[in-house]
Amino acid sequence: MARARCLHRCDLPGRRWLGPALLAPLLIPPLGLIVGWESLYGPVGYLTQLWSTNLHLPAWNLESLPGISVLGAVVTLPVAYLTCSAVLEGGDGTLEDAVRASGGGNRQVLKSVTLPTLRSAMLDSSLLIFALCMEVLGLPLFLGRPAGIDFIASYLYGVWTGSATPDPPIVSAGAILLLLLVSGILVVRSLLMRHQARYASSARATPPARPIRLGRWRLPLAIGAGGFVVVTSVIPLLGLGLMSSVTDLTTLVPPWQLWNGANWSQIWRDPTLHRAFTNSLLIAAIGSVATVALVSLATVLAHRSGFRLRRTLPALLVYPRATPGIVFGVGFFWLFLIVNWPGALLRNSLSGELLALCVRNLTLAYVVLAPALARLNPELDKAATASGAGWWTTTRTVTLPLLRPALRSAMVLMFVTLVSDYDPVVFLAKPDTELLGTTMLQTWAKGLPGPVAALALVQVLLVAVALTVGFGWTLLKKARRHA
Amino acid sequence: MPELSVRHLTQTLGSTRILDDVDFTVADGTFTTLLGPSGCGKTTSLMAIAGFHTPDGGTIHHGDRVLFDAAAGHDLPAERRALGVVFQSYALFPHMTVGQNVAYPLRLRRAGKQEIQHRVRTVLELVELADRADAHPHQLSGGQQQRVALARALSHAPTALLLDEPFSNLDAKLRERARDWLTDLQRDLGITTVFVTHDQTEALAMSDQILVMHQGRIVRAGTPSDVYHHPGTRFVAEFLGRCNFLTGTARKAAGGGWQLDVPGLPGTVPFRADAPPGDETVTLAVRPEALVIAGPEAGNGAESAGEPAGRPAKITHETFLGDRYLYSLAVGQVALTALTPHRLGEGDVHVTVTEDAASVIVD
Repeated sequence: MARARCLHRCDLPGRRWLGPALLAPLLIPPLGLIVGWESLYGPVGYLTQLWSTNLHLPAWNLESLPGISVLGAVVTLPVAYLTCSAVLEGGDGTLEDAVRASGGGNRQVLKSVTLPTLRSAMLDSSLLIFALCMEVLGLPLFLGRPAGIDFIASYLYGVWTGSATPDPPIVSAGAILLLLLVSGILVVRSLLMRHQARYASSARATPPARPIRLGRWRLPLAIGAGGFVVVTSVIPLLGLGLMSSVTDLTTLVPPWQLWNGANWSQIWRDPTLHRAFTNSLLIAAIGSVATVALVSLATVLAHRSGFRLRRTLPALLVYPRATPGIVFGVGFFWLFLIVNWPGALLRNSLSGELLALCVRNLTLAYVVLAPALARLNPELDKAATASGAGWWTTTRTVTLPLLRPALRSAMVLMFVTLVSDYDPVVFLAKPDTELLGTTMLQTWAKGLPGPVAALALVQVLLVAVALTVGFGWTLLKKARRHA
Repeated sequence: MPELSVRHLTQTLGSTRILDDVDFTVADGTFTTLLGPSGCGKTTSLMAIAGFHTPDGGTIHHGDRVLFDAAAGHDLPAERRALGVVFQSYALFPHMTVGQNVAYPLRLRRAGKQEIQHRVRTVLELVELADRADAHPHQLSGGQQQRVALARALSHAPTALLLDEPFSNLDAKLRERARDWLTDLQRDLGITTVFVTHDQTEALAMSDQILVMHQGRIVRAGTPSDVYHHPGTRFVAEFLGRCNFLTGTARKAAGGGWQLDVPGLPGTVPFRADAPPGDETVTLAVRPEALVIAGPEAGNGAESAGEPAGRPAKITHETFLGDRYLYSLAVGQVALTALTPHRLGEGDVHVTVTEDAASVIVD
């Protein structure tokens, strides 16, 4: 199922101009997107009702395997898009020109150059998405549960939360199975990619590919692509906003008659929900700064130093994100339990969750910082050293100041991720230490979609603010420089 | 300022010798150029002096300071070698102004604020950029950036200056000016300088000493004129501009010199040799501009006097180079190239090879 989904996703390549809008699902908190979809496209969702009850047309079922797959595809689509677009952007433009010079049209360019060069990227993103789908927790919990559909992660979560004794052995066993499965996929991926790199990479600088002329297909394709973004991201977000502000979302009564601030005031009044907000904000704020600070040092150490273990560092920095989040949660639970000190301090405390979330997501900071560092001319380091600066002085006065834009991006990305991430902490969160994500799972399980929608919207707003502040600053600076 | 001596540097990577017994001395206050094609080990040698590259064996001394000694396991970190280095990309810190870039080595040495100000101004005046102290590197032209890089390398008054192809990012015209300017500056400061380039014109124009490197080895060392006129090997002769090669058998001439019989070439070619050339075949290198060409008119005049100057030759191809003419000539069955400042007329010419023009090389 997941494989079909992946393959389906990868038939994107020709449509690069779709642009950053396709990346929206990567930044919209996943739970928010799921709740938005459920509230509109779910079996009792607003648009489903409108469609089947009012128009008497056959309805779809989101709470089924195909339904979950479609949403899963939407959520993981940016991964495929990023992988493929990276290949296309780095691709040799003269190859496509050579096809044209030989008399081939667009179709021929696609068939003989674009698709073959994308083959490895497609394989790569397929495996990556397959691995991601193996570990999804939110989707089956929100959409699968009502229909009795369980995935590994949601099954483990269910057993854990439903059992009388904490931590039944089956969860650990299942987590290990999941870990082995996902690690296996990633090992296969790295093996395949190593083989591919031999043929794909070219050190020569080549002009970028010219955009493919679409002619009369231009408008319909643009509308199709825009419509896709609207249906999958924009409308669900609007639905989320609607759902959070009414007592009940139904087609029987117009929404404006059910307008109500109850969900919002509940977030403010209910100490659990309120605490979830402040805790998440705290973790995101501290976590993003601390993680980026540590990862930036680790990155510089790994790529610009004579440190003995520097070659193993990149692998260590990448691995956490490759590990399924729920496995991470079980791992940290045991770690805090077994290691008496400082485990006892971290168990049942916010700092423990902070640690788990930061370690799990530090890969993202590394992924932003490493390419930025690689673009810095190594002669700058040497120039500092030749001037008499040691490693630390060079890092402090030259490397890190030049990485500033990347550091800011990494911090925004970390903040956004820490606000939305939840699966590593589902087993760690206790009363007093709830986070937005875990509280949403629990509140949803209680059958209260209204507050969940409001919390999801809070997540979306936090992300929006972080993005605006982070990237708005960059834009402002650019504008000032031009002025 | 102390001299720089590099002794027996070696480095092997797999089965390739990157540095093969590289051994030279840069005398106090002189300008030495490491010249060679890319991959010959010249930048590796320079970076070994700077401290960014650790060879397998050898020593590097600067005055009485030991910078590197492989046998003793001594490798002074680059930041403590206190040399001035200018990189190929200039490596100006883009987040600092010109003034801050130049002050950087001084700040690291914890110089006083006034001293830094004074020194930065002095050095920037030296490179004629005193009015651009507040500009950022991206606001400068390539030539200015190169001068800022030089100013930064000089600001802490190093005792030796290392330059890694500093002109490679400049256009031809600017390169020529920068060359003259740097040579004058180096002479004025009297700073011991090592310069790396693959451009033979730069090397010939600027250096007191040229070290030609090939496959990790120094294959020829000497003054520019010596290296140019007596290349010693075919590689050096070809690398330092155009060259004719004449191969034949040598025999002793009456006046203590030698004569070379070249198959297919009428007459013999006179040459001098310090050591007697063996019985085997000898190859001579003759620079195209060293050939004496007598044009058709001059030739006719000589003929009328019944005294033909040199061997008759046919012009097979003419190339206009702007300031000179390059000719391909057929002399007997031998093809030669010649450079002349003036255009030769139509018809046959006469070629003479003088004794000074030819030098013995080994292949």
